[in-house]
Amino acid sequence: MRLKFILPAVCISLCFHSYAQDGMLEAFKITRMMSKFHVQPKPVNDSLSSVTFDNFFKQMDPYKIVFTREDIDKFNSFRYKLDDDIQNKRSLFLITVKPVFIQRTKESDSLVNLLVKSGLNFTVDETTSESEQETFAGNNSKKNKLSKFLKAEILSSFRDEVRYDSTLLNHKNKIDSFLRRESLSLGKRFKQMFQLMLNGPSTVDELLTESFCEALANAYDPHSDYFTQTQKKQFEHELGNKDYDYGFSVDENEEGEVDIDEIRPGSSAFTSGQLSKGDKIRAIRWEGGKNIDVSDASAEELSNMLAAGNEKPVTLVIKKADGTIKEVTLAKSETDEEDEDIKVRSFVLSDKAKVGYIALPAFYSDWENESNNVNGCANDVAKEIIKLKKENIEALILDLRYNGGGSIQEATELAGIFIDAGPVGQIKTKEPKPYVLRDVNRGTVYDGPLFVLVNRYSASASELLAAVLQDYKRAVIVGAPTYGKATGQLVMPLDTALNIEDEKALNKQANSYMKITTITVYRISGETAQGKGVIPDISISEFLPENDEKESSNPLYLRTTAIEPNKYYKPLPDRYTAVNLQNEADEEIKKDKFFEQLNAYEQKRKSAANAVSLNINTIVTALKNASNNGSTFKQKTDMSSFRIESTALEQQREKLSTEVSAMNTSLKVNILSDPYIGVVFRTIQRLKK
Amino acid sequence: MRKLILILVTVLIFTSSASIAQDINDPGKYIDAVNNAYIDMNKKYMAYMSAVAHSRARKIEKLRQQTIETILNSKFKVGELPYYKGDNSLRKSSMDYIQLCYNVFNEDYAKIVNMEEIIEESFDEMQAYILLQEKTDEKLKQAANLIDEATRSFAKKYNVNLVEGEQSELGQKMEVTGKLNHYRNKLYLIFFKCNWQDNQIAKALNAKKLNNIEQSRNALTSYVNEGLAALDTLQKFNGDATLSLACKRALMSYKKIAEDELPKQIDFFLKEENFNKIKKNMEAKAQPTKEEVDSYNKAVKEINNAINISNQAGKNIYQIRTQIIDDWNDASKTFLENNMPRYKA
Repeated sequence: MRLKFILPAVCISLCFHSYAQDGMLEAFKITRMMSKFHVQPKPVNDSLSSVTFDNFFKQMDPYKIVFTREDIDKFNSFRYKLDDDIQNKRSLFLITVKPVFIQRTKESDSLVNLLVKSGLNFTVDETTSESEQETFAGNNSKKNKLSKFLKAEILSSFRDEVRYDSTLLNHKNKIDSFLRRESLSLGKRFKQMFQLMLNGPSTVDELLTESFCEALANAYDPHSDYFTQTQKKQFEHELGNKDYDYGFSVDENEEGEVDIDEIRPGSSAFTSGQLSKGDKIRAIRWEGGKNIDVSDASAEELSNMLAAGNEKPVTLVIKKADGTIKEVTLAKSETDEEDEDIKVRSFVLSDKAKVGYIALPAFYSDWENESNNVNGCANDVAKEIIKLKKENIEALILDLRYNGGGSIQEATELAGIFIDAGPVGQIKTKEPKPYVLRDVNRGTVYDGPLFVLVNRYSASASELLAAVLQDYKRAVIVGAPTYGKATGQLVMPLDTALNIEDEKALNKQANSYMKITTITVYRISGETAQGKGVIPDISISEFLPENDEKESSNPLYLRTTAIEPNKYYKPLPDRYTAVNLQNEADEEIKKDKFFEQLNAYEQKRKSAANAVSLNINTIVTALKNASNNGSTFKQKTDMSSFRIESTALEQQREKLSTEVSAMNTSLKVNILSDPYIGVVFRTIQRLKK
Repeated sequence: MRKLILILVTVLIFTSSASIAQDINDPGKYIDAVNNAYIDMNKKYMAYMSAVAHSRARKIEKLRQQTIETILNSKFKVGELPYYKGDNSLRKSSMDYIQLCYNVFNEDYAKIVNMEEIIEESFDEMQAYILLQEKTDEKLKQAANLIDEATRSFAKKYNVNLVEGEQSELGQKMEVTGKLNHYRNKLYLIFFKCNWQDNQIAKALNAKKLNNIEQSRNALTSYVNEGLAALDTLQKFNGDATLSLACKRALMSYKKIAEDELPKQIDFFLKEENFNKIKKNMEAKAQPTKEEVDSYNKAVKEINNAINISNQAGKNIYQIRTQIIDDWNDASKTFLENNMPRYKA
């Protein structure tokens, strides 16, 4: 049901038969485009047909609460025939699905209505499991499946709520009212969704066609996609997609939850270093006020709220992708515009060693001045390093955690800060010969010890950067294996006569568009981060998210095999041959109780049975026990292992701007209480001895 | 008294093929006839080599065209020679040699001339250019050795006494030219590497891109150090230290730019950026506190100071650069005047 919320207000309704036929023509064109541009095109055969079949139902019914097992069995006769239908532009499949879809959606709508109205019973002893959620219910058990699904959703919100406010566990009436409120809100959301599917601005025919085309595009690899002109526009001008003065925009995700869609470089949201795309906003609090729960608010409502209180600093309570809850205070920057050129901030951490720290939560480029790229993030990082060198740092920490990537050019220039001119990566298109990404600038800005902090959300261009610094033995990579996305996509009009070298043609208006995976990225060693990420030299365990979303979590992710290493790169001498870095770091990890608690918590979670209870009493008891025996933990460390200071120039600014000084103070507190930064700092200190 | 090619002493008079035909039965005369056919060619290409050292691209290209003409002429002359009593070996070797010379001048040197226009784009290209030049010279040398061999074996076969004379003037000059070019190339590359890197700094300064300024600055420092170390083995050419001393002076000047002057400008860029923010902040304040006013005044003083220092550094850099180029050009000229043999066809 992806994207269906954001379909356009105006839509031309076509008669079903001709539309569906057009749909199959679209599908046919998709196969042509893929064979022309996809980096690893697939033959249009039974196997592609089968994957498209599965994708289609995932697309139409992601929670498996609309169709039944019997329906799918009936459709199964099409499983291996879709390839022929596409080649011959036959629409029988969609014609067969349509009436069933309409009937089943109506049915689910009234079932949800009934369930919510009659009140969900949270005191029954029942469980649900992942495998149960992953299968379609039989005709007779659909109501039961829906009931369990709704309860599981509500109870998951409950668990999150407890993490955020554990006193809830002690008030039965508060628990009851929370569950009631959540039920109604979820019921309302589902009603809206079903209504949109049947009577939304898109006709059911369009919905089916679009889902089918998306399913087909996804069958080539999960990042390849299909969308209509209106969807593309919606992407670009999404309702909530306005910049606030705090510097971020919000959007509704496919489940109707509001999350952070974009963070404007240089803004208060960006420099906080604590926000990332995809973070969910749970509550907001104006300075001196109380928390306002916004978990049910729509993007528009939240947008209005934030706009109204724009003058005051606001504290956002956010839920990170890994489930951790964080509070981030943002000020509306009064000097927003000219502040844009300091987007990266640096600090000096000191105890027995003096270490520079720079966080880069996202890449950004200088779109207006691409040839010089003066305002790109690489140049900004270089400036901060020059400032840090004046402070006589002995080592540098570059924090790429939660960095979802960006421009390859920036990654290349960033690598150039630390290595002399030379190859930094390899790119492969359909052509057999890879081309080499090169840093063309001789010399380095910084050649001292370098530690790069990564986690499972460091993706794409940040993985390219971590990989090249690892291959040159230029940096010690610390943290957890990265996301594992080493492919690149191009959005283009659906036009089989297209020449992708022609930039004008790429930006032409069309009725529908494709996003095609046209390149794969390789390390200079010939290895690839695709699917496996960059494996750190020092690994530190991290908090595992409930929904593991890495490149390899999707079974259809693009597989790539290693290519020849680049012949012209020579790794630098290894700074730390004499020591076992992991052992050194482990000594420091041991000292921080945070990691002990983290491991205990993860252990508990792993051992928790696959079957999840849907009984509120069982859950409350379990949560209480957990908090009593210390199985929950704070997200912060108590160890303060270093002092932190701004650079000399920044101190000058702090003296003259309370905003800057407040912002930096809050950043410093966050850095001091970050257990991962603590481990890296103390490890550097150990290695110094 | 027949001398081998490339080591001819006397200026031989052009011998027409008609006269050769009369003495075709004398193997000695046959050798002369073959050698005579490419005297002009050898002279021309020696002149070319000399011009490469002394002249600029346009003149070199003109000489290259002339050399090709004389080569074609020689090819025609040797082609007209009959076999010696049915033996084609010497004639064939000569034809091969001339063809090779033709290829070198028509293709390899053409490439070199074309390259000259792009070499200033990067150090690697300059290095490749010089390498190609040295390799091509080497190719010609080897070809000359082959034809030398062929003449010897022909003479031996027909009992002709070849008199090995003193090394000719042409030969000597070629040898000196080769050694000198090699020495000069080595020094030039050391100089050029720093010069090119300094140009990168100038470009980065224009764009005010600190990432590139700082990278180039550090690169320049390391090239200076690398160059100074290499200079130890290249101190003199035939007792003449002019060029090596000039190179050393240039490197020390580049070191001054990289280590003393540039940091002042970088410092200013960072302070300027910071100050502009402070200024905006200050201007937005309705009633700044006394403490804030004091801090601001201090910042103003600091930035003014930084401006003066940076301006002075800019002037110094300009002066140093001009001086480096003038000094190097003068030294190169003196060095070549004193050491490069002159040869005019």
